[in-house]
Formats: sequence, C-alpha cells, structure tokens
Amino acid sequence: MGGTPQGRTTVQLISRLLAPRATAHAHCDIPCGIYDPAAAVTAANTVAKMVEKLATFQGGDDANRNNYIRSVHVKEEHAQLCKKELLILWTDYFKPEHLEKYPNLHDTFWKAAKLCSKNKQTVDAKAAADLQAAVKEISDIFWATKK
Amino acid sequence: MAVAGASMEPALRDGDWLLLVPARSARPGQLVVVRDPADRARLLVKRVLRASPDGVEVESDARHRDHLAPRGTIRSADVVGRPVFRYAPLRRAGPVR
Repeated sequence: MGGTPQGRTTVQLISRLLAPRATAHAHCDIPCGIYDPAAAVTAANTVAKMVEKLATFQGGDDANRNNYIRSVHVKEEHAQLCKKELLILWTDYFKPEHLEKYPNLHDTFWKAAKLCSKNKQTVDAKAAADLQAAVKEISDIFWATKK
Repeated sequence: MAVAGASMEPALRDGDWLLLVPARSARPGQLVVVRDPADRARLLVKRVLRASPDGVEVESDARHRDHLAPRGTIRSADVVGRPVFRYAPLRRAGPVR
C-alpha cells in the first residue's frame, strides 16, 4: 500500500502531522576546546575545607549531627566532582604532544583520580592536602600548555 | 519537539522526536526544555543540575562537548517543559529519562 501513489501521500500526510513543530537544541554551544582546571581546584579545596570542618564538630545534638552529615555529604560530592572534572581534562583536553612534554602526565592524573576516591572514603587531612597538591600540579601543567 | 545536536548523548540523539509535557519546573536529573537565556527564541534541551523555587540550573550530558551550557539559574518562566517520550525513530521509541 505504501508503494502506491495514494499510499505515499498518506504516509507523507501522517509524517507531516507527526513532525515536531519546534526544535530543541542540544548543540555544542561553541566548538570543543574550552577547558578550565578551576572547577577541579575548587572541588579539591572544598574537600579540604570539609575535612577541616569535620574535625571541629563536637557534641551529639541534632543540629551538630545534621551539620556533620552534611559536611560528609559535601565532601564526597566534591571529591566525585573533582574526579569528573579531572577526567574531562585528562581524556578530552590533553593530547599526545602534551604527554611528550610531560611524561608523568598519565601517572599524575591516575594518582589524582585515586586521591578523589580516597577522599570519598575517608576523612583524612593528609589525603585532602595531597589531592589539592595533585590538582594544583595538573592545573599548573594545564596553564603551561596554554602559553 | 525535534532534537538537534549531540550534547545530550547518549540519552537523546540528533534527530530524535520527543513528546513534551508542559512544565515550569523539573527535578534534578530530569530532562528539561528551556529558553536559551542568551537568545530566548531558541530552545535548549538539557538536564537539570539543581532546582530552586526561582528556576533551574542545567547541564549537558556530554559535558565535554558543551562547556557553555547556560550558567546560572534559568527562571521558571523560561522553563518550557519536560521531554517524556521519544516517538521517532520508531526503533528507539519509548520513555526518555
């Protein structure tokens, strides 16, 4: 039936009736290539700040417990965010020519990503400081490649 | 509502046809169609990152493709609706989330 001229007209008509009236854009708003380690730096700083806060909570009243739990939650959320931002830089921004210049790049990213996980699992000031240092190192490399 | 572009892959693909439920708000994690704050005649489909009484903040799923998803809160008045169902292509028809 679809092969007859009448059938084709029917299909065209149905298709026209069903066709969307509007378009929702899911385009890249600009070409790829806008990257910034600032988000990872902020996330790592947030993790460190939460670890610092978590050491100060005393007493078991509801308000304290609530704030304690919220701080743990924010710490884990930002450790995860930090990992996500690092992986975007690692997989999408850095290129083989960067690796030639910074041969430890993969190791640096790998360790930084692992530190994100460690900071999710633990409340550890050293792990938080190590994460800040690792992200700063990546940030420094990033900006050096932009010169 | 037709999707143009790849910034919401793999949930939505270029050329998908979607049914939209009119809405002024959406919860974090839900798909949402909003007016582009930079050009209100243009509609964007994104995912809600945060929601507040004032509106929503959105992001793309394929974030590396779209570092300039509109920043900040998009006012409730500029939230158009929520895509709920893909009716074309037929082989991928079904609810979207």
